[in-house]
Amino acid sequence: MNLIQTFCLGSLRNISRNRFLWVILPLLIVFSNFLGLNGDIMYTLFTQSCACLAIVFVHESKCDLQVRETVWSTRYNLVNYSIGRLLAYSIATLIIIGLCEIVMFLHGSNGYIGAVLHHNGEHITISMRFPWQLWLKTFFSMLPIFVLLLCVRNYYRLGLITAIGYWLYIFAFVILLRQNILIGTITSGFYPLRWLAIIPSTNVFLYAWADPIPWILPSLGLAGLGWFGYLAKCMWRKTAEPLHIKPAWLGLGLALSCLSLYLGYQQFVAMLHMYNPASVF
Amino acid sequence: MSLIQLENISKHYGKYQALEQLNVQLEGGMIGLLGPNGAGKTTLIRVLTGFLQPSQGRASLAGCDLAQPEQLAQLRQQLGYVPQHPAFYPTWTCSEFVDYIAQLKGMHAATERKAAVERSIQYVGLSDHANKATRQLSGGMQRRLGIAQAIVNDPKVLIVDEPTAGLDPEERLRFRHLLAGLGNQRLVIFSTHIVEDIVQTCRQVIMLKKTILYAGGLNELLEQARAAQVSWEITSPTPLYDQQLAIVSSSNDEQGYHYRIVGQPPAGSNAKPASSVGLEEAYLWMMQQASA
Repeated sequence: MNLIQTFCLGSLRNISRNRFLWVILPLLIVFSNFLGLNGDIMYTLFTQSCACLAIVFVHESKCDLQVRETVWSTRYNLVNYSIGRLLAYSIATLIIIGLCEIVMFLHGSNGYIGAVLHHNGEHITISMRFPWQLWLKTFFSMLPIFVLLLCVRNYYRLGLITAIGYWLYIFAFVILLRQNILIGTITSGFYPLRWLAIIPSTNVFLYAWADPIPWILPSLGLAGLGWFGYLAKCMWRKTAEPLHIKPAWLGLGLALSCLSLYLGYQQFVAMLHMYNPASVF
Repeated sequence: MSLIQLENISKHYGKYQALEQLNVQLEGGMIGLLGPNGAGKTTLIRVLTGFLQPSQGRASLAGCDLAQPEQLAQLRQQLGYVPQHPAFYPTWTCSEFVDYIAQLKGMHAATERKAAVERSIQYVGLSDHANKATRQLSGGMQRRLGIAQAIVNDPKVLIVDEPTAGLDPEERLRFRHLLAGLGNQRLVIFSTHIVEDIVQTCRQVIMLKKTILYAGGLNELLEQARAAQVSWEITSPTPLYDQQLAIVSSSNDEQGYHYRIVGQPPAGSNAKPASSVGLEEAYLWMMQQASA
């Protein structure tokens, strides 16, 4: 527990001192204010701000790679290190969501944000003071990205391309065009990549106001599968990196992750039938 | 009791053989690890710290078998390691980084840890820079910070990989003095390719060129080299351009060109056996033996 805490606090220190984050966050907030604070823009702000953390994660991985000989000579082990880092970035995600919420509260209309949905030909206006759906969705959609970046942490360029790609993907394709042109929708048209819709991290902007619960299990399943799979790979390849985990725990973790992904998939498909994204936007 | 024990240690990366059948048994104190660039010094050090697993063989350090995870974990609690290129989180201050490593080494009591951090930073002479960001430190200061993080837990074993490479003479002397002080109380493995650093600080030496060329006392090695008559002095009226000659030093005056060489002197030369043999000559002799 002490090791996890140490790694977590170390990561939080790196995040809090990252210049990129402190430059880009105010820019995003200004950008959001410029466009006006409605629900879509708030969601833009949430997802964009949190996606910045992916780039910060890669930058920290680069530093970790440089200091790893020193750190490995201590009581370091991969399980504690990765839990500590994932915990730190989860906390940072929550803090950023909280900051965005404060900005919204200060500049929104009496602290409320609103959105107009087009549903079956009708205009539905919703207004919320605490858009918890957005918080939850943004938070859980970041988990698989962090795990993916953890798995490629020793390959700086690959990690950077992944993080920037994810950020640009949200920015360019999803936010500016306000529709998911890569994946499309489940119900209409021919979209070869539409199976990606099951990965919540790739389509957070779709179904913005839909029930956030179907995001939880698939995200946890994906993150678990990625993390336990990575540990299993390290164990299989017999790297010198100390693991401190028994194969039985790995097997159990992988099985639970698969179960979570499967159940999440069922929930997600059920949700898609309820909220047809083509009619939402 | 042997504090370092290597039995048939080999390490290869694909087809490249980095270490070949190393067998060593040495006692504690200050041990110099000497070899040319690419000899496998860093690989051996990484094997000794558990950073790399050997392809073959067994290694034990301070009585801990490095192949056993429990014993390796036990060793790491009493190990200090300064890598060849010490790196730090650039935005952290010196004391933050040393404190972080102290926590990772299992020093949980805050007051005790704070005192240990201050002590180690003071020992390496960085007290005035303790609150400076690590990216603002000069190369020599970064090496000293590397030592500070390594000794914060008062380790029984200290491994230092080429700490003096690239340092100015003043900083090198300061570093040698630091290491010599630490070597009085613990096992210190000091890797370098600078012969002078070994002469000034170590009593035991391991010479490495993919395999062990020599492992034992420094004085014994010099005795062997003296007995084998490895060093010669030559005076020549013209400069020698023989690429095969291992020339240790050269000078010239009105009597001609004076050379000190290691190995067989050229036929017909007026070579005289040198009166003394230094570690540099013994080192060259060993390398010649390895290449023969």
